[in-house]
Amino acid sequence: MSWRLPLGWAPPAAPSAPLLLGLLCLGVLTLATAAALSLGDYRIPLEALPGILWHGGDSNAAFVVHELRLPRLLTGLLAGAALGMAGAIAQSITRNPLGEPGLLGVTAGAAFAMVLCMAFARLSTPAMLACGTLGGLFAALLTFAIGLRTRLEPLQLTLVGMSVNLFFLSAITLVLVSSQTEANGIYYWLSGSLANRTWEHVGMLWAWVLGGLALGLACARILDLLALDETMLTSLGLQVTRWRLLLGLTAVVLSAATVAATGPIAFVGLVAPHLVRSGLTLAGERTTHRTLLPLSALAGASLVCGADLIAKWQEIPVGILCVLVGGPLPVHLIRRQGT
Amino acid sequence: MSLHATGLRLAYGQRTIVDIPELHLEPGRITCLVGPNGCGKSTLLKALGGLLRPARGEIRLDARPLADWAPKALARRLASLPQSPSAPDDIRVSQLVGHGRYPHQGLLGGATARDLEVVDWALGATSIGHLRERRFATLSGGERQRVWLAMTLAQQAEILLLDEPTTYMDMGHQVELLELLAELHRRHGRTIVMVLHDLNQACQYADRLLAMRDGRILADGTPDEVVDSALTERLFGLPTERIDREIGGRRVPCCLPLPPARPEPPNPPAHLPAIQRPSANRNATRHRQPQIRNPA
Repeated sequence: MSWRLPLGWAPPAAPSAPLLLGLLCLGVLTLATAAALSLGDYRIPLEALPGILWHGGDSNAAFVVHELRLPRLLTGLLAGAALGMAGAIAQSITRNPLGEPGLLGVTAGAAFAMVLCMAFARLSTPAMLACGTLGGLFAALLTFAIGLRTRLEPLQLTLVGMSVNLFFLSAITLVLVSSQTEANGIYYWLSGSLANRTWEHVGMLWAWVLGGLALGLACARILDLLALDETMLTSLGLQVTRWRLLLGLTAVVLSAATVAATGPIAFVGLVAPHLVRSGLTLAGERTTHRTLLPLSALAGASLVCGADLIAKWQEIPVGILCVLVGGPLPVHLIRRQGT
Repeated sequence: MSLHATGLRLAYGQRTIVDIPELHLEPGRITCLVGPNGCGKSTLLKALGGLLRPARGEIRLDARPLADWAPKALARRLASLPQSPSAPDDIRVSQLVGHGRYPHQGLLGGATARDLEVVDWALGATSIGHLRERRFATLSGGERQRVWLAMTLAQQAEILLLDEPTTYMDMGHQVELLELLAELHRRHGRTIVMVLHDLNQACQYADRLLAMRDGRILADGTPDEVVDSALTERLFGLPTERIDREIGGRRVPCCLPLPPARPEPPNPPAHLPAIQRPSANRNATRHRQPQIRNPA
C-alpha cells in the first residue's frame, strides 16, 4: 500500500464554506459571550471582563460574573452544542428531516422524571439532575429495545420513538393534573430555561456533552454510509443495527443530561442542522457528517446563547425564544431554495 | 478461494424459494444465473453474498461458513450489487463510489491516497470519470447503474455477485458493461456470478450457465452444452431456434424466439349449417324497397 500521493494529484480545494460557516458561528458566540457576561441589571464594562475572568477577586462584579452569569452561559453553550449535534444524528439515523432527539423518546423521558421529582420529592439539585438524566436514558433505551425487533429500521424506529415520546408527554400531563403542588414553576421549566443555572448544572453537563460530542465526531463517517440501503451496507461489511444503536445512544447521551439541566429546548435540535445544511448547500458544498456534526453543534450553541440574551432581557423562557428566533429561519431558507 | 453450498434451502418465512443440494462455484470464472421471473435466482445470489441466512444447509467461502466471517473481511473478498439500490439525492458520485472503500478503512482513518487511487480507477473502468462531481439524483438510470458498479469495484473483492447489472441500460451500455466485466475476469482473474435476463447475453459472456426454475437448477454447464429449444421451453415456455455463432474462437449459441405454434381454429361441426350472411346487396335492396301501398 503506497502512501505517496500520485503525481498530478492536488489536495481538494480548501473547505471554504464550512470554514466560513464555522467562523460565523464562532463570531456570534463571541459576541453572545461578551454580551451575556457584561449586560444585565449589574452592568460590567467590556474592558473589565478579562481581568475579572482571569483574576477573579472579591468585588461584586466578580461575584456576578463567576457565580451568576458564567454558569448560565456555559450551561447554554453546552446544551446548545449537545442538542445541535444530537439533532443532526437523530435526523440521519431516522432518515427523517423533521428528526430531533425528542424523536427517540429521550426528551419526554427526561422531562417526565424531572417533573416527577419537582412534584413529589424534595431533592438536591444534583440528585434531581441525575434523576432527569436517568429518565431520559430509560425512555430512549425503551425505544431502542422495542425498535431492535425491526433492527432499528428508520421508519419503525421513528414510530416507536414517537409513541414512547407521546406516552411520557401524557404522563407529564397526568402528574401536573393530579399533583397538589403549584404547577406554574413546572410549566416554566417545561418551556426550557437557562435562568438560575449554577455550577452544579455545568458540573453535571460537561462530561456527558463532551463525551457525546467526541463520540459523534468519531462516528461521523458512519452516518454518511447509513444513508444507503441496508442490503448495500451489509454487503460492504457494515454492521448496520449495531451502528444505528451506537449512534442513537450517542444522541441520547448528548440530550438526556441536557434536557435535565435546561428543560426541553428541543427545537434547537431540529433547526441547527437545517441551518448548517442550507448554508452548505447554498455555498454549493457537499454535506458530509464530518462537517455537518461539528457545525451543527456550533450553530446550536450560537442559537441558544443568542436566544438566551433576549430571554434574559425580557425574562422569557429561552426554549420559547429558540422557536421564535429559529422558526422563521428555515422557512426563509426554504423559500430561497424554492426560487 | 471458492464458494461452496451444500444442502441449501432458502426461504422467506415458511415459503421455500430455493432448494439446491450442492453447488460449487469455481474461482476465476463467469457464471450466469438465468431463468424466469421469480425462479429464485436473486435469492440464491443474496445467499451467496451472505445477505440472506439459509434456512438449512450452509455456504462456505474457503471452507469457512459465511456466517463465521468477520463482516469487513468478507466484504474484502466478496462484493454484492443488489437490484436497484437507492442513495440519498444530494450525494456526489465520487463520494458514493468512495463508500465502496469502507471495508478497507479503519474506523477513524479517512480516505488514504490508496483509496483515492482505487476510486479513480473504478470511475475510469466504468467510464464515468466525467460524472465524479455530479449529484447522484441528476443521473440517468444507466449512469446510476454504472456508479453502483464502480462502487462495487472499489471494494476490490475477488468475487463479484451482480444482480441484473445491465438493468436500465441501453444496448450499447449493456455491452460496454459486460465487456468491462469480461475484462476484469480476463485481466484480474475476478470471479463473477451474475443474474442476467437476456439469455443470449448470458451465452456470450458466461463460462457456465445455471438455468433455474422454481428454485431448482434445471441445467448446469457451458452455454454450448445446455442451451437449446428444449431448455427455453422448459424455462420460459418459449420455443426457440438455436443459431451458433463463432465469437473469439468459441461456439456461442444464440436463441431466437419462434412464434409459438398456434393451433388451427377448429372447423365447424358438419351437422351445423354454414352461417349464412345476408349479402349487403340484398340488405340494401330490401331497405331501399319503396313501400308501395296498394291504393284500395
